[in-house]
Amino acid sequence: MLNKNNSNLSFIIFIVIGLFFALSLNIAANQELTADEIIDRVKENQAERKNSKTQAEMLLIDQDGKEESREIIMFEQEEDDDKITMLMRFLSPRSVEGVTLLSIENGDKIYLYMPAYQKPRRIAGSSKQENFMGTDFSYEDLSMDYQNDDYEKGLLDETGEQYILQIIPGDEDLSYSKFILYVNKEQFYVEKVEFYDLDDTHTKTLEIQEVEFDEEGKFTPMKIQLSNLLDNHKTRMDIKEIEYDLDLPSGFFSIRTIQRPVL
Amino acid sequence: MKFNRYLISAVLIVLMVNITCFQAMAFNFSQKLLYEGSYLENNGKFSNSLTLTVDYFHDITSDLFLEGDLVIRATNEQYGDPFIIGPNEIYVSAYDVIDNLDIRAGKIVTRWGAADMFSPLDNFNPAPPGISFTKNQGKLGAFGVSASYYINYLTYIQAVLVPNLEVTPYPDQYLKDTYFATYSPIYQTQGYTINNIELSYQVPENIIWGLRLNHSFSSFDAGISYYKGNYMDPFPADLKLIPGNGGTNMEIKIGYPARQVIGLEFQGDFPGVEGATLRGDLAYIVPEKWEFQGENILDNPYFKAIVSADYTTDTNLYLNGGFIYGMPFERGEDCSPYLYLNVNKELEKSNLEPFYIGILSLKDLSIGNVVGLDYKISESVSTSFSYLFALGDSESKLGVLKDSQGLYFSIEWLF
Repeated sequence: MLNKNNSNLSFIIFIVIGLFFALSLNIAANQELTADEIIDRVKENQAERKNSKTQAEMLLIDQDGKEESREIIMFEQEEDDDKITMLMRFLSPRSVEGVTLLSIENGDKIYLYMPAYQKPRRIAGSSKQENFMGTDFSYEDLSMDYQNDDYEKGLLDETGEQYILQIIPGDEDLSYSKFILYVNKEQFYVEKVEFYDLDDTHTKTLEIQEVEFDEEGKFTPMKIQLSNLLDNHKTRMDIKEIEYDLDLPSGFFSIRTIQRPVL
Repeated sequence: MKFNRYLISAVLIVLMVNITCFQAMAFNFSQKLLYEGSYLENNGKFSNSLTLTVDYFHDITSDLFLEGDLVIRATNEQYGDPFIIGPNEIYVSAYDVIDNLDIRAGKIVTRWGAADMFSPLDNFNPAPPGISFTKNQGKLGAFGVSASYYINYLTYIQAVLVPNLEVTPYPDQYLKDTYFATYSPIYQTQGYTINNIELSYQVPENIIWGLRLNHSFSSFDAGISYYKGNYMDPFPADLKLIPGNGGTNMEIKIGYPARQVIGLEFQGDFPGVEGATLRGDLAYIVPEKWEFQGENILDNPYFKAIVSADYTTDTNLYLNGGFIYGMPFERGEDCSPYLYLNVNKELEKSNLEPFYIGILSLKDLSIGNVVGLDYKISESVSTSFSYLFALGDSESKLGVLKDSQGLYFSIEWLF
């Protein structure tokens, strides 16, 4: 009996010590993480796909809480140099139906197709700060990569649940001076991004309100909200359906495609 | 020729219905109901029109579509048909007919040129009569084929063919009144009293065609083009006076001179000016020599151009300004320089968007102005109220707008 109790006690102590040791190692490992390593972990947790097709509902919410709903379809592709190329079309309501945005390689080239004009319009890079079709997303926001390897990153703070990182783009073409990222400590995904303009004023906040994880632990944001703090306006995107690794024809992301009636 | 066009429209509509029935697939429909009202100060006349536009498309296969619209319009305007029904566009669009070749065939609108308005390169489709200051000028469909071949995703070549010239549909009575106002005083001094005007039209039946090569460079897109066709506005070709009882009849033959247009268009970053998009169209026009009553109306080649810049300020004020050489109503040596400005801003915490559009003639300093207010009542209903006025004498370049001076109102419902 005594032997058995001793044996059980030894086992419990072993487990507790083991857990403590493992936890200590984990905490130590996490504490040692640099900002770059945290971003790397976030990138590891992102689904690595060559492209994606997303159908979503976009809600525009004004300062009085009044909502306008828009349906969108969006195709994204990561290019060889990690730049994002994106094509987005409004499916409803009627006032914006068919309006299509093509952003090539992080917005190096931006085209807008409006059915009423019956021809694609190129948007100059310098107009990227303009809001896209009444949303709080500027052309620049839609094509930006906050986790760009070239941006300067620093760990500002850390709470029980989040790492707080500062990203300084140092990109003269960008209209933001810095981003503050809130990274979920347990699951390594970005929960919130604060945008600061060139005067260092906090102007926008992007929140990932809902994520889904696949079997491999890769996450997909399913509900995103961008709040414009200057006019208290919000844009929320609820992902309805997302497909990965589509067999898109070469040249899909082109002005040819944005003129098609069906994508 | 008119009958043929109606016949083609009817055949296309029947074809459209048949395809739908046979395939038991629904069309995608959307509608727009538009009321437009105006009060013109010079004649104290109210005009109203109600237009229902039904847009549709049908995917026959994933690369083959039937697209079009149906326009039903009723109006009490001084000139023109009080009731119109028919498609402005109805066509089949096919993608990858052969690799990288897309085709549209039927009653189509083909837009060339980078400029938002008054592009001298946009010549395949007639515009409705009169000059419009609106941000996007509507065009009337023309039967033809447009084929675009994509050499790669940066470069494409486009060919457009229109078998018959489609002309701007000026109402007969409008032309008669205009010619009467122009020639009656002249002949009155010679002892002729004009009491009637007869018009006859000489519409050329040559094929209209054009080629355009477009390439996307890193900071701008550019295209070169060639158009061979005709002017779409009427030119007087011959005038005869026929003595009659109690006065003189005037017979005017109307023609549409041929022209070739060599074009250059570009749009993209404004070099050195942050925050602006540059768009420009340059046209070198070679007209058919055209004489009327011994006077050369068209003779030598001439240029037309429009260069504009878009800019949005931090306060969301949209500015679009530019330089125009040659308005749509000017040709040959009549072409003259203008500046234009288009400003609008959506007011914070409201759905109100005041706007101003102004054009200044640099030749005689006459100005055409539109001040107005757009209001979005809901996501699907919007309204616009504006006042158009012209500064300058009635003989000045933009003095012609004095006839249109007045109040304009519209309300649009999308469903």
